[in-house]
Amino acid sequence: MTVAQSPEQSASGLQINWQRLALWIGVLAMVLFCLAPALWQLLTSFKVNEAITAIPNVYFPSPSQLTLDHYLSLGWIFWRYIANSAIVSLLSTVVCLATGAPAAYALARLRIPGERIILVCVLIVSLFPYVLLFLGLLEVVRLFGLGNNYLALIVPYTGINLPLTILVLRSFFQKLPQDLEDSAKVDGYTTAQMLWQIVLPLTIPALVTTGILTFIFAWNEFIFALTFITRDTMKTIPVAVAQIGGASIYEVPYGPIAAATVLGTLPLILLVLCFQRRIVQGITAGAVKG
Amino acid sequence: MSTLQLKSLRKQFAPDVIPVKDVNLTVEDGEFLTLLGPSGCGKSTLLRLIAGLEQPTAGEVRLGDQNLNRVAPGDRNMAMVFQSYALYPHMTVAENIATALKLRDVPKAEIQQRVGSVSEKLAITHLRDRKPSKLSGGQRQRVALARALVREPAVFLLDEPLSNLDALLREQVREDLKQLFEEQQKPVVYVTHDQTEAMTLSSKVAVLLDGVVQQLAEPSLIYTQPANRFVASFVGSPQMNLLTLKCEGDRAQLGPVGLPLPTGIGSPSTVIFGLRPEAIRLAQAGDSLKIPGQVFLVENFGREQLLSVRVENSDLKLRALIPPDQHWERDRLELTWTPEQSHWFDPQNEQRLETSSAAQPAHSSL
Ligand SMILES: Nc1ncnc2c1ncn2[C@@H]1O[C@H](COP(=O)(O)OP(=O)(O)OP(=O)(O)O)[C@@H](O)[C@H]1O
Ligand SMILES: [Mg+2]
Repeated sequence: MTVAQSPEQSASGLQINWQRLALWIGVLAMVLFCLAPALWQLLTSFKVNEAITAIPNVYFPSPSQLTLDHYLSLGWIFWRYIANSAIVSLLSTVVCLATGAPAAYALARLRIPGERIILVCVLIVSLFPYVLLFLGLLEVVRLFGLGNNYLALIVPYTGINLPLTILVLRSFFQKLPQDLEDSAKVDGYTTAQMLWQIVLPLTIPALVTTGILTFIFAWNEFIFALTFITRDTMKTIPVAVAQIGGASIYEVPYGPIAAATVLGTLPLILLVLCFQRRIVQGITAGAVKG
Repeated sequence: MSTLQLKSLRKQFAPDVIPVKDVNLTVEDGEFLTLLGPSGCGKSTLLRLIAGLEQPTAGEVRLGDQNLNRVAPGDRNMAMVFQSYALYPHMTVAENIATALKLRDVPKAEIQQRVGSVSEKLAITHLRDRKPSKLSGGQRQRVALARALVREPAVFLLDEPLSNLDALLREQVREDLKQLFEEQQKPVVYVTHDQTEAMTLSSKVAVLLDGVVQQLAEPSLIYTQPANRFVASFVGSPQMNLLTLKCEGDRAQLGPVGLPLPTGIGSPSTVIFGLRPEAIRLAQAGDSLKIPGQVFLVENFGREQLLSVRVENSDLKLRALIPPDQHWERDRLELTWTPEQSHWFDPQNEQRLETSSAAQPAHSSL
């Protein structure tokens, strides 16, 4: 029975190749399916107006049909929009992590009476469709005179993302071995040092993951940004892109919109690519028995 | 010079969860105390109380003449090796070992020197720059040990440090541990549920059950004079035979044979009789005590055979360790032992019945 049966083996080798081929075809189809709209947008942003509106569609523009005009037409003000989005998103993310992480740690480690109730509340908050909060928030913004102020966006963005941040980080902290913290205490770390030098470095993957989610949400959010901010120089990218208008109301400026979309998405793509390795990596490996 | 002392130590987590109840222990310099007990008996909790990771509900932990109850874990000058090793995953091996010294503002040169010599002693110098995730289980265990040794603390605490190693490695590390801690001449408290470790390593063993010290004695005494039925059954492998026997006058009835009760225990109506399997041998012509029985199970350990024997005319069972080269009949054999090797326990409180021939009480409170 244990004699090697070479013909069968080579056959199975062939089969594996087929499987791999099928796999790659599947992967390619999937990627194409998901990214096609983005690719179309990218192509559109480089095509001259005639090529954009041409019928039949121009899928592969010739060199003479390519142009950078759409990008140039956006003007310097567009950098301002990007900066606005960056400020709002970055601050929301930082505040969200800075308040969510300690809360999550406390919920994971301390035996707080009524812990379950707190968790249920957190969960319920995260279930609200946030758009429904919008009218109430408008009143609040008016009351505090926060219109046309970054705070009008930063505070709600932080609040909306806090529940998820807390829940995700809490389950992460629960998986972090308690022995590590005890060991640190015996070694002589004070509580603050322990949190900063032992717990925080191990928490970075979870912080990055939840942070990126918050950042993406804040970067793409539209309704709040549209209503709470009216001054042109303070607009964020989604609003700015939506408000790009043509020379007349009958003309839709596909080119500039596509260019603005591409520019507005690039920072997100760069961000995710940068931190991708951090997200995937499991940094706690090796702390305890393998 | 330091003496670790536990005084009436108690820890209560919830009304019905009391893993440590009134524990009194003293560990001197150079003493190796092992806390031995089944899973969940409160060994780790006791160790954590000593380390200061838990606050006692009542009682004191003392080091020398200082009460440690209000002293933070980091200021107790104790080093602890955790069952899971708890190495900091984001630091290299060298950083892991050095971190406690850095926190205590030891000069850089001295840190280097101490880390170097400990690493050499434990043969982990070549691993200095690796992260814990790139180490094998045994290597991690040695790094965890190095982290404790490098501190030259007043007390060493070890929580089942060998339980994650395979059997062969465990034996080897056990020897190393013994040597290492003999050199240190500091109080060592070692937690284990493995009796071989307890027997071979320690100078004193505390057998724990339900948060109470059942017996505190040298390993040999624990084995030869167990203080009660639990200790008798927990220590020793294969397990001691423990039979509840009816008594008539000065004899306990084991199947067809009346065993003479030892002098000094009076004449109870029933008694628990204990006998280690290794104390039993096959009866020969000249033996006065002969217990006839039938073998119903044979387990072969290579070095010897473990026979399970049903005593004739009864449903009592005895297990006996017999050398493999001896001959016996499955259907009927006769067993014997020297009466001094038998143990007697009170059936009510399960304490050892002191026979007047025994020189010394077994559960002296050391
Ligand atoms: N923080 C805690 N809160 C409540 N109960 C606890 C806590 N820590 C331990 N216990 C309980 O105390 C008892 C003893 O636990 P402990 O960890 O000391 O056992 P152990 O002897 O070390 O067992 P093992 O050999 O399995 O490690 C257990 O029943 C456990 O459930
Ligand atoms: Mg334990």
